Amino acid sequence: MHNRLGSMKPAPSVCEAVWKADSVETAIETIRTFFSLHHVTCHLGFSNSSIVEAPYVKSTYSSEWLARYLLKRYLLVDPVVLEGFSRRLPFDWTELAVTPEAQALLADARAFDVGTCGYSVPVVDKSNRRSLFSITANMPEEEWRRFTAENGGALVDLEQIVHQKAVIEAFGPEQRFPHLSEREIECLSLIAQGKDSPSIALILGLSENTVRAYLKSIRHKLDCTTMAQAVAKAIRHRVIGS
Amino acid sequence: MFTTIKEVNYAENEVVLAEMFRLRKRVFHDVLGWDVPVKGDQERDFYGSLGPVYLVWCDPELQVLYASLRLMPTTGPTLLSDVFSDTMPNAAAFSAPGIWEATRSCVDVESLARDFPSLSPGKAFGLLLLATVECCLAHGIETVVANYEPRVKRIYERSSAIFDEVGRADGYGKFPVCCGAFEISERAVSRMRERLGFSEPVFTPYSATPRQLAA
Repeated sequence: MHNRLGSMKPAPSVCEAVWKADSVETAIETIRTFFSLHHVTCHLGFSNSSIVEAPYVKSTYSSEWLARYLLKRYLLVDPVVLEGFSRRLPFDWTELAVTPEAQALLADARAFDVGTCGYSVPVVDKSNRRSLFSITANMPEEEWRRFTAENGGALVDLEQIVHQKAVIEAFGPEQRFPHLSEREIECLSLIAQGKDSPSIALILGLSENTVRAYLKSIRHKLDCTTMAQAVAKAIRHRVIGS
Repeated sequence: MFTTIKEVNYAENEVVLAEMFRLRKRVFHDVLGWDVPVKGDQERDFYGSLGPVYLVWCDPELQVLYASLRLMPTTGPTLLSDVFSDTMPNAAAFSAPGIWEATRSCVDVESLARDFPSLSPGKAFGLLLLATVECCLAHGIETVVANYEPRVKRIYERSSAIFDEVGRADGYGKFPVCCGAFEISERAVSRMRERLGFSEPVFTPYSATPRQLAA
C-alpha cells in the first residue's frame, strides 16, 4: 500500500483503475484508497436554482452525514460549494471565507468526522459543465499542505476522469449537446431574460417570423416542447447563464 | 404552370427532370462557377438521392422547363446546414418541422425568352418565389430558408417577399452566396401576388397529365 506521505507523481496505475471503475462511486473509492484519504467527493454541475437542477453528488462520506447535510440544507451555505463552483484553480479549504451561516455546518462537520483538512479541484469542460472534486484527511496542516502540493497535478488529472464518468452517469452516455448557432444562443438568452418574439425581433433587427423559426429550431434541437423547457435545459448544460 | 414533382412522380417525369439537371449544370457550374458535381451535361448531387421535392415551372404537358428549385425539410440532412455551417452558421442553424430549405433555384432564360418574350428574368425569379410561397403555405410550412445571389435579393425585395437575410459568404463562385429566411403566410402570398399582378394562385398542385396517364 502507498504511504500517505509518499509522492504519487507518476500515477498511471491509479488513473487506469479510476478509468476502468464501473461507477463514480467505485472511482472515488479507488482514489480514496490509493492516497489513504479520509473522504472523497464528486459534486457535478451545481446550479444556483436547485429547481432547475438537483445536485449530483457521489461521496465516501457516511450516509448519516449526507442525510444531515441534505436535511439541514447545508448546500446553500457550504463555502466549499458556493465558492468552489466559481473558482477555476484548486484550493485548500483554509482559503475559504466562512460566513456566520456556515458556522453550524462546520461544527456539525467536525462532529460527523468529515476530516480536519480539505482540498478541492474545480473542473469545467467544453460544454461548460462544472464539477467539484473534494478530498479530506485527518492530519496536521503542514503535512496536508505538503501532500496537496506534491499531488496536486495527479488530483487534477484524476478529477478530469471522474468528471467525465459523472457526466455520463448524470446525463446519459450520449452527451453531445446539440450545436446551437450564435444567433440561436442570443435568442435563447433573450427568452431567459423574459423577452417575447416581437421584442427579440426588434433587438436583433429580424422579422418576427425569423425569430419564431430560430425559437422553433432551438426547441426541435433540444427536444423540448416549450421555450421554458428549452431554457432550463440550456442552463443545465451551461449553454446560457442562469 | 408551377407544380411540384415528388419522389413518387420522378419516373413519369424523367424528361423534365433531366432538363432540370441540365439547366442546373448550365447555371451553377457554367455561369456561377460553383463547385458542384457534374455528370455529363447534368448537375446532380448527393441531396438528389434523398427524395427531395422539385418545384418546377413547365408547360402544361410537363415537357418544357422554365425554372426549378429543390425543397427539403430541415429536420433531415440539408445542403445549407452541411455546406454553410462554418461560413453562415446562423443560416445553417434552422432545423425544425415547418421549416424547409429551398436550394438550386434557377430560371432558363432561353426557354423563357422563346415562350414568354415579354417576361423579364427578374420577374421570372419573383414568380418562382411566389409559387414556392404558395406551395409551402398549402403544405403547412412556416419558413423557407433559401440561398440566392446578391442580384436576386433585389428581385425578391421588389417582389414584396417578406424575408431576412441571415447569412452571406464569399468563396463559392463568381458572386457571394446569400441565405434568407422567408416568411410563408397568407400575408406574404397576398403581398407578392399584388406586387406581381396576380389575383389567382400561380401554383397548381401536381396531377398526372392526360398524356402521362395514357402512357
